[in-house]
Amino acid sequence: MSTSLKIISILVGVLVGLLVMAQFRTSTPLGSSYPLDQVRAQKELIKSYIDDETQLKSRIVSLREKIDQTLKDNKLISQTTNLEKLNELKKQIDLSEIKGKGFNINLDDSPYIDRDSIKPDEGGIVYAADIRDIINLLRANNVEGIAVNDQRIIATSPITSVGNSVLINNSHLSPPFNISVIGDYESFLVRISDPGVLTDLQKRVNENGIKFSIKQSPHIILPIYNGQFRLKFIKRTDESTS
Amino acid sequence: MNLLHRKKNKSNMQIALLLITGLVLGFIVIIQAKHFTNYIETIGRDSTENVFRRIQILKISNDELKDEISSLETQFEDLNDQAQSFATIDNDIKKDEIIAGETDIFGPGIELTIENNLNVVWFIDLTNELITSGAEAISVNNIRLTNSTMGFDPLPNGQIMINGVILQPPYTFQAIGDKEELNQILTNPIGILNRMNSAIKDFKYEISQKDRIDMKKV
Repeated sequence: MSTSLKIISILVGVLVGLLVMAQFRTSTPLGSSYPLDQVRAQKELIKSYIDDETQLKSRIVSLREKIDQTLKDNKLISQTTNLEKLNELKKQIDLSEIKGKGFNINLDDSPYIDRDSIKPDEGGIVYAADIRDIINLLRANNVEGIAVNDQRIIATSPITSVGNSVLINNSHLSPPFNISVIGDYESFLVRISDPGVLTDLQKRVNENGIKFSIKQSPHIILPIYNGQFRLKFIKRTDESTS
Repeated sequence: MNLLHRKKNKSNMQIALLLITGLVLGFIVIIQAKHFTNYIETIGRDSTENVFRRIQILKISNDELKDEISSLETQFEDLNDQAQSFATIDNDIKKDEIIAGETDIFGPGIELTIENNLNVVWFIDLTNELITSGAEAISVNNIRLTNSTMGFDPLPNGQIMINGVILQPPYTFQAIGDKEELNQILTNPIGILNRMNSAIKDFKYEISQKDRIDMKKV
């Protein structure tokens, strides 16, 4: 056996030895308790925030109803103040429940997808961007009101994706997404049949199995907006001193 | 002759041994690499950055909800006090007029000007990004976005219409809010402007923080 072959054999042996050792010393994912504990703690923290949020939003709705009732009950207030104007404004900013004719759009992940164990660019799941695009199209079609899984959509409703989750009005929503709309069904059907709109979503409905359906309904009820309005930096020009 | 034959056999055996060792080595390298990949995926499936962002959004949102509750509680108490109730209703009307876009407003914020033609999705995503970043009021080419504003309507010729007005570049997005935070969120390395820069050829924009941005009523 030549010397060079002997050296190569020794080097290969050493390398194999090192790799075998590394193999046995590497912790498997399940054996690594720290990262898994951390992930669990993060999930618990998120859950506690979501629980708090649900309670806070429910408190907001309850307070708004109480205020509304107090205004109705107090005759002096109703006779001497511009309650009509206030109620009209509340309708405009979605602080009142509305009912009417409309339709429901149902949007769901592909049945072959498990949302918890997918890659971020998977085509078979519904993204926040899909919901944003549909809502924009509905608004472009001049509908009267929109809610997604009972979250009333206002002009400043954030619709975001964090990981594989969808947050609307900062509330955590899971599929299927039911978009309830008060507005003209026929006109929206014509709009959505245009191949130039919602192109990415239409492609993924056809190719990746996303479920998308629209159903007309004579009785749509949209709930009152249950979130907050940010007015920390805005000032009215007519109250400006500068 | 026999000796030559034995030498050849020995050499073949050595080559076979080296081949087997090489195969074992390759096998171990693959298993080792796979272990490392699995390890990273276990931690990175729901990436830390996303989890932290989600926690941050929820925390800020809950703080804002608590502020709203506090304001509504004060309003409710004041309504039960006859003397205070008129002022409370007046304040409520004034606040709702701001939200509905029925009055002129001003405040600090940012102004973003984009020279390129934009697809409708960028209008949708940019306004959403501004809202998520804490913008209290937004306008695009001086059209204020409120509940009564229609959506961005893509026309067959590629133009975008909003409230019956065709938008032309340069597009100016104005947002009232915390100007430093808005600027930082939009321009950070994974922010929307960097994504637009990667997606749009010769992307040209200018962003500036303003002490006062004025928006007309709708």
